[in-house]
Amino acid sequence: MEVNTQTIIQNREISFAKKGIGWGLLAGASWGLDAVLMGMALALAPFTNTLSLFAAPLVASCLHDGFSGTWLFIKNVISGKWREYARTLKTRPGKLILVAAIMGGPIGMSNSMLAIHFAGAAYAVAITAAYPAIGAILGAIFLKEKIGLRVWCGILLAILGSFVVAYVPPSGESHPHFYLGIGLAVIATIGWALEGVISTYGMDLVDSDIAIGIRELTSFSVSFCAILPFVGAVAYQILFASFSTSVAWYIAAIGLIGGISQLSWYRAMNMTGVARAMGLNVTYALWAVLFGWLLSDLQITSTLIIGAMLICLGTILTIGNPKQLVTIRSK
Amino acid sequence: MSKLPIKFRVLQLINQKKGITNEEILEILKFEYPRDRVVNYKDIEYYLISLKSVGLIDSISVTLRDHSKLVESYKISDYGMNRMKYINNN
Repeated sequence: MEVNTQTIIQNREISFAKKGIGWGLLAGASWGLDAVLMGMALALAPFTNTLSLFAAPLVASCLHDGFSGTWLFIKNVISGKWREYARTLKTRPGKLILVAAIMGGPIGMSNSMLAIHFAGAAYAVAITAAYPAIGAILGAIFLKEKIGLRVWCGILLAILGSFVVAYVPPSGESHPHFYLGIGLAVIATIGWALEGVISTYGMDLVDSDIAIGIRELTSFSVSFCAILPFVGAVAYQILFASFSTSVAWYIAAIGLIGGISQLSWYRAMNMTGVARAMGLNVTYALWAVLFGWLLSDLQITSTLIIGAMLICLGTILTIGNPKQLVTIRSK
Repeated sequence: MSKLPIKFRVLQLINQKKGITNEEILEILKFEYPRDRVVNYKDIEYYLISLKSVGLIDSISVTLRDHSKLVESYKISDYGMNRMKYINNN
């Protein structure tokens, strides 16, 4: 191989790795914006319904995933990939994407909501913020991802920073089902980590744009048919009532941002590996602070600044040297 | 027989013919998937780099044609052979 050709190949592969990092950063930023906007939408009727504490977030999450899945399908129609949905679903890696979708969507999200309800936000957030570390460990074991000491330090710093940013001091109110809540938070954390590892394994063969399209539509379908019935009729009342107000259309617009975020996250996992993509995705806590300050009445405190600095430092360490990302896994 | 997803088919082609080039893969796919706009140079290159970065395929040789166009030939790796079970069983 000539030196000139070698250089071109090397540059092309480094460019691929850099794009993967770019997708990871975009995933974190857009998820932060998505979270702030969803928080604002949840403050509007009919989500202010007080008949069930966790019906509103579960309904909003279900609607959000449905709209995201629809936007992603439109995107895949425009890019000429829509035939790949049916072809992919007939394969075993395609079915693995379905499993990953259930792990991350209904299991991850629903248990996280229930954990906040049963154990309080302080403990639930502290536990679920650790999902990138669990994902990185599982990625190293099952996918043989190469994760150096610097990247580990980066991931742990980003987790610590997101914990500091998202931490809410215990309110002092009693939680009679506290340990149930802790258990559900652990299940949510494992669910999100498993989603990353299983979907990345599937995306070795499945196009990442199709994988995330399937993921969002599966998450919506399972939430609609299997999670909302547990909440009761109030969930469907809220869901259908939202279409008689403008809030469902706000969520449709937010779903576009969510779709971009999820697409970026799946591309990043495929291009840079689970560990780095999750380490970059967890920066959403930092972006949520920035967008919250810009779009709502969020006050910047010293705790937020310390958390933001930890996330920035963690991100720099996680990104590392793109030259080392040309081959993601050990042989 | 129903068609495989395109990225699956790329790996299958590399498994079937050691040393197949990116140009040959693109020509075969254009014939097999005439209505799929995703079968173009840029998207197939993306699939090939993606398959290579996760270790499913290895590069055998690369030549530069007309000072700008890369012609790269590939072979399947041991890991890729292991994943062929997901393709052959479909």
